[in-house]
Amino acid sequence: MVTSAPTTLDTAIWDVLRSVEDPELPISIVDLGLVRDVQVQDGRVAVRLIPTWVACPALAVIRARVRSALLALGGVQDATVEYTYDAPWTVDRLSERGRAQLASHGLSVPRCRFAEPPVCPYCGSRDVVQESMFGPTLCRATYLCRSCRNPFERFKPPA
Amino acid sequence: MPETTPAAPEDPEVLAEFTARVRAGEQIEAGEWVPEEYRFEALRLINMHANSEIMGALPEREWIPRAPGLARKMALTAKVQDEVGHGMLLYRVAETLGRSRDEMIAELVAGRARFHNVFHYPAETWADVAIIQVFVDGAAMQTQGALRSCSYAPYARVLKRICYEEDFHIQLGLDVWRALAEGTPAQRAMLQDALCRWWTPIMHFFGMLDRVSPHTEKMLAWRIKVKSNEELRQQFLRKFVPIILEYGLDVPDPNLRWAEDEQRYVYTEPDWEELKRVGRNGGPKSAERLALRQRFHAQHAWVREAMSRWRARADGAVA
Amino acid sequence: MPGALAAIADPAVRAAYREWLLRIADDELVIGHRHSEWTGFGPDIESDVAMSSIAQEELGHGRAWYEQIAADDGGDADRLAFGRAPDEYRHAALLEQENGGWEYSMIRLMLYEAFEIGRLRLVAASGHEPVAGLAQTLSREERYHGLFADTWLTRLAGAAPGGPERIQAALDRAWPDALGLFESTAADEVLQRAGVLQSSPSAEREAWVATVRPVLERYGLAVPSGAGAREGGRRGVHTAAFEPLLAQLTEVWKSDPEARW
Repeated sequence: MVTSAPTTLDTAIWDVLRSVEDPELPISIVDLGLVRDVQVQDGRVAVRLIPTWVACPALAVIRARVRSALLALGGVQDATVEYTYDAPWTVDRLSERGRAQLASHGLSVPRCRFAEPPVCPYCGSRDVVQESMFGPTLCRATYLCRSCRNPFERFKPPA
Repeated sequence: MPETTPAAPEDPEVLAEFTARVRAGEQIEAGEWVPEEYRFEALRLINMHANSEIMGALPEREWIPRAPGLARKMALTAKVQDEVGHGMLLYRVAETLGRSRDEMIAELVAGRARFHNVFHYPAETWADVAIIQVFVDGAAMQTQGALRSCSYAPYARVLKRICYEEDFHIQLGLDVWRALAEGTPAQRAMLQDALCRWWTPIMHFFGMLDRVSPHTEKMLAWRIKVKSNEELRQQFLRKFVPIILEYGLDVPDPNLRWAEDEQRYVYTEPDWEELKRVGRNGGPKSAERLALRQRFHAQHAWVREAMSRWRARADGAVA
Repeated sequence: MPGALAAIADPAVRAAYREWLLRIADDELVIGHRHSEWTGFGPDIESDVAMSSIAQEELGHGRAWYEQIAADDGGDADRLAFGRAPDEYRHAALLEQENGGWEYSMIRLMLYEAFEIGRLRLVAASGHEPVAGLAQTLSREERYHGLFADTWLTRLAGAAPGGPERIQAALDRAWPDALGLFESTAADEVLQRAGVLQSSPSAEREAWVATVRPVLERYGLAVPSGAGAREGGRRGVHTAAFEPLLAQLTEVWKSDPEARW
């Protein structure tokens, strides 16, 4: 990879990646920490993404969204988007902004480990009970807040 | 057992104050005082929604074992899982209004509860999956999307998340739809056939034209109902009829047309007697699906017993 | 992206490794299919949701392995998963058995997950990328499955009326099939000799028994003695449960394998 100052195209590519949202959550794939790296050579862009969960049904949709967003960019001749397994996805890949967005969507995010005591995203109470380790999507577990009685979900990274 | 709101005397002044609060856009949190009628109606709505998610898993789950391709199989499993997961959230919300989940589920399994009309119909072919994911979920999105601004805050919160996921289901469904619509003549025929079979249940889904009644007025004032049935049906038609036409399929109603002067779709009035019959669990698949629920409920009686004993023991250890 | 096989020069080793990866993929596909049959019918809503998650994960893992194989075959994952004859599948008998009761599904899940963790460790240790990385990623996901089975078995064994007897019966039924997971074929020998795998099926089996025995005993269960392994799966010989499973799995896809579904 060339380690010179980012070109206009590099900047534009990252802007485009930041505009691609996860289909099931109000968060960009960059804030979610899915982008492993981007290589650009002669207008050909190769993006490598890290899946949160290997079986996530959103992976194909994300790949298609990224590819078509890149191809729409002036100066991009071709774009490949691949998933890579060489580094695991962990919660510290989430940006601060991403964390805030997930919290306002009612999703609690552990600081770094799933084993941390959970906190209700609505009222901040720690008086919560885990209802199920498996939530509506692979990446979430479900809880009930005993203080405000709202059910909520919590991001679950692979162990 | 969840505690119920203490039966306070419904002082007309307190009632008027409640109505004014809600009318001004305020939301009600779990455990706050609400008029008995509000509690009853909100509970009925959320309970039925929860039931529908649980029963709604059944028509589609029949196609999980047969889904053509790994991605389709995973996506369909995920989709049905989402519905069941929504049921889980919704029963929790319903519980805050004073009924236990066990009670609601027992009533559902016994066939004494209601669930949405569309889930009483068969899913005969793989194309039914496309229709359910695009049109049935699309219909549900209109209702649920509107209710995101309802007055009961825990319900509104859960709906916000549910709608996000439903929107994703529609995207996945559209992919199945496109594959069939742009596929072989046999695939297109299969899709058209499914669309024809589902059209009436989908038109029924929104319910009859609302009668102007003090009850409806009150539901609207309390924001337990946000839009009228016909408004939601029109909203659905505006969004989904173009999809049918775009792919060159036939809308299964020869009289359906856009009336420019009225700014609405005109359609053939469906047979409302059928909706009433289906609503009373008298649809073509009601008995069979309830029997399946009952079979597994009975099979798992000992498992539930183990769970409740386990919980009792854990509670005992804590106390 | 080339798969793991391209890097192996010796065609005999390559063929053996393909065979071995196919076992993993087929195990995951078939158990994923069985788990997904619980969707909509779990004993409670939470478990229903959980089994759907586990099913998806197994199917997704299966797909990831098929993709590795397909990358070198020049085919695609769906054709491998849906387009083969019954005797071309390499999964063990344990995975294809009907779900039966919840207790059987939980026992099978527990036995299989313990096996799967060991197998993934073996692949991760092989040093062959990208499969080693994939194995590491997948084992982080599989861990939750084992936890789920353990939670259930603890409850069922400890608090259910007649629970221990029911689970014991399920274990007795599952045990010979579970031993069949370790069936050895010529492929195992080739891979061991070539240094791709650092262990033999019999050593893996011993390690597995040492892992599951204390857990089963903690549930109050007796490890069946004297029962031999039911083998055949790794050579493509399956039990009566497989044909109907495969027929259902491929019903729509085979109605027109050339169509895009």
